[in-house]
Order: sequence, then C-alpha cells, then structure tokens
Amino acid sequence: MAGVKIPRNFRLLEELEKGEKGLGDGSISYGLADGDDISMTNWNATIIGPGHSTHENRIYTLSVECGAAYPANPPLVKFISKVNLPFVSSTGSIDTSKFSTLNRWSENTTIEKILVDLRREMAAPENRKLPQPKEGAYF
Amino acid sequence: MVNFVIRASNDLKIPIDIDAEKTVLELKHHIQTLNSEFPAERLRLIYSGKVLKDEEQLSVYNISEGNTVHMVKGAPKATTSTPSQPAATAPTPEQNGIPSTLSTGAGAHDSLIEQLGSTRVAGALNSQGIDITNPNMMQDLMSSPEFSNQMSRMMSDPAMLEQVLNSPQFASLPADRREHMRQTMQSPFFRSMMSNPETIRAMMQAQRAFAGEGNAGGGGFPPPGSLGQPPSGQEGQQQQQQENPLAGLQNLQSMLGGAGGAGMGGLGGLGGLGGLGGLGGFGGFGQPPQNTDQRPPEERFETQLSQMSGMGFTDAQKNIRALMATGGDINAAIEYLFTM
Repeated sequence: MAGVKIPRNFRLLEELEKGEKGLGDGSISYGLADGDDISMTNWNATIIGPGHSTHENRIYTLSVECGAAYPANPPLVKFISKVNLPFVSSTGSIDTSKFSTLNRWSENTTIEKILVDLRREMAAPENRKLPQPKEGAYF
Repeated sequence: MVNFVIRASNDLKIPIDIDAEKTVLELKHHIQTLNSEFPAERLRLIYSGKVLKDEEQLSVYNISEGNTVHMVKGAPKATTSTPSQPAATAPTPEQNGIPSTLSTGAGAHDSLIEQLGSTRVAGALNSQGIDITNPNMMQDLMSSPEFSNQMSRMMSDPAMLEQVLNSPQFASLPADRREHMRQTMQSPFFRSMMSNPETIRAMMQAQRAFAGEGNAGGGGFPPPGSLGQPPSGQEGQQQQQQENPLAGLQNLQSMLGGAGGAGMGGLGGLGGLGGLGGLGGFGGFGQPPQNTDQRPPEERFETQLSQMSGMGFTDAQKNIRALMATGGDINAAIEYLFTM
C-alpha cells in the first residue's frame, strides 16, 4: 500500500479534536461517549435534520463504534434516535450495502464524512418526505 | 470558569464565558440574554455528539477551552408567539372565538390590514428577497420564527400604529372609533394572533377555501349567488362586507391584490383576519378546508401516521392510502386496513 499508514489512535485523536472544536460542518457533531476511554472505541454523534424535509428541527443521535481495525475497516454506525430511512433497519443499524459511504469504505473516510453523507441522504429527494416517527423515540 | 463558542445553525458564533457549575438550562438563559433571537426554551445544545440535558451542570460534559457547542433552535410551540406575551402561551377561552374588541372594529380592519400589508410587510419581504407570489415560500415564511417576530414587532411599534391610524382611510373616522382601534391593535391577543404562524396558516387555508382555490390576487369574486349586490367602489365594498363574509373576503383579496401585487397568499390570509374579525366570528373555520390542503399526505397525516405505526401498522404507504381514503380519520383508517 502506498503512503504512510496513520496509526489508529493518531487518526482518532485528530477526529476527536475536530469534533470537539466544531470545525467543519456545523450540522453534525461527534465525540467520545466516555472521555476517559483511551481506546477511543465508542463515540456519540448527532445529526441535525436538514431543512425542508421531515427531519427539519430534529436532532438524531447515533452511536459510532470504531473497532481495533479502524480506519482500515469502517466503524459500526447505528441510529439511536428512531428514523425512517430505507437503509436503516428496524433496530437502527445501517444496511451498509445500501449506504455507499460505508459500502465503499476507504480508510480516508472519517466519522464526519459518514455523518455528513447520512445527512445528505436524509435530504435526498426520495427520502426527505418520508414520514418520521415522533421525535424523542429511540431504537 | 470555562469558555467556549456556541455555534448556531446559521453559522453565527457566540463566545461564552461561564461558570462550569452552572446548569445547561442556565446556559440557555444566558444565551437568551446575549441574543434575544434565541429563546431559552427553544434551544437545544449539542456537544461532542451529545444533546446537553437542561438539568446537568456544564462540568459534566467536560467542555474544554475553545471548543464548540452546537445550537439548534427548535420549532416554536404551536400556540406560542413571543415570550413577552403570556396571553398566547395557554389557550384561553378568548382564543376559540374572536374577542369582542375585534368585532366592533368592523369594516375598518381590512383597510388596516391592507395598510400593513402594502407598506411594511411587502416592503420587508421584498427586501429579504422573498418571493411573495410563491405559495410554498409563503408557507415556509409563515413557519419561520423571523416572521412571527417581525409581525409582533410591527404590531407593537407605536409609530407604526400612528402611521396606520393617521392614514387617509382612518383619518376620517370618529375619534372614539380610532381610539378603539388603537386599543384593539395593542391588545396582546390581536398581536399574538397576528404573529402566530398557525393562526395565519389557518386563515390562509380558509381563505383558499373561500376563494375556491382561485388566485388570491386580483378580482376573484365569488359566484354571483353569494353576492348581495355588485361591488361599486371601495365605500360600497366596505358596506357590503359587513353584511356578507364571503364578499368581505373577496373584496379584501382584490384590494390586497391591487395593493401589493398578485397572488399574495400570506397577505391575503392576513386580510382574511380582518374580514373575519370584522364580522365577529370564525364562521368559516367550522369546516377545516381539507380538500385544499396542498401538503403531501405524509405531512398532513403526520400525527395519525405516528399513532398508527405505534399501533403496529408499519406499512407507511398503506397507512397513507387508508388515511387518504378516510379523510384522515384514524379509526376508520384502521378498520379499512383490517378489511383490506
């Protein structure tokens, strides 16, 4: 493989800093579920529902689990807030075959990129008018 | 002490310097005092992928120096307008009908509305690059907090009131009548009604129903049968309006159309307020104009759909079909689903 492989922890620390400082996209947020978790495995994330859609004014909470093989392998992303999207199962897990960011994973893809892409899916013409469960419902 | 930055959805950044022992709710109130556009009860704060809970102390979240907390302003509660108007927060008997103060203003209200519409609203809207001839945009606008704030500001501006009351339409009215109008317009109820997007939306719908889906602008007169007499000049129209609610509405529409360009759905809706208020009754609201609701069924039946999915009817498409077939009656819709 060409290029230097960035160690998992360096990469996650970088992502953590970006998430806490709120650099990048303001419509999503992410950080460690437990600030003392030195393995940086479990993350919380939120997506602010895109406007002009049934997701408007909603905040969706997700969990992101970055395993030991991250970033070579994609993290496990699950919706905690109930949401009605074609690629989200009835338990909140994401069907990776229907969500290209995870399906065609590259190790340069970040947690932020996943969240931004999920949000873009919510705003996509085929998804933005889907009826959504009451806000505050969880999987 | 901890200092960090609040980042609002419009990319506005508010630097915060606050005691870490303070609760999230106290932080929200602090934000409100810094910027009144952000009422504490509508704010939601997110840090590091977590939604901050009102009762927690900030220290719980370990927000470090210079970090960013995201802020989302939620939709206003259906009945609230602005926090300074407690009258609007709880449904009062008054809100189910038109208060008596409004009904005595009679025909003069429509001119007031016209005045409001033509001078400030249209001006303000245009200056924001908002296309008032686009009904969708109007819908969006109605639900935007800016709109209700603006309406409420307008209604509470004494200079604005003077301007309206001294306009040619009203200058000729007897002094006691004008004083009465002033009181009406200053009343919290009138203001909250005018600044409540729900009310205005309801009026827009009613207006559309009256107009038979017709364009709100220019000359959409009702069928001859519903007109007492043909319109003849503005004086005649106002006279007539006191007799016939439909005619009143239609007159308003044509007047508004003339005042601010064709198809101003929203302003026409405001006009509807004047007309209905002037006649002292929400008679036209008895039948919600279901057939004129242009929203997609998913939105229109949102509450029913969530109830149905809660009951185990998980096929949203089927639910929508059932609800559409039964006009939104959830019980009938469920029966319908069982027989399918």
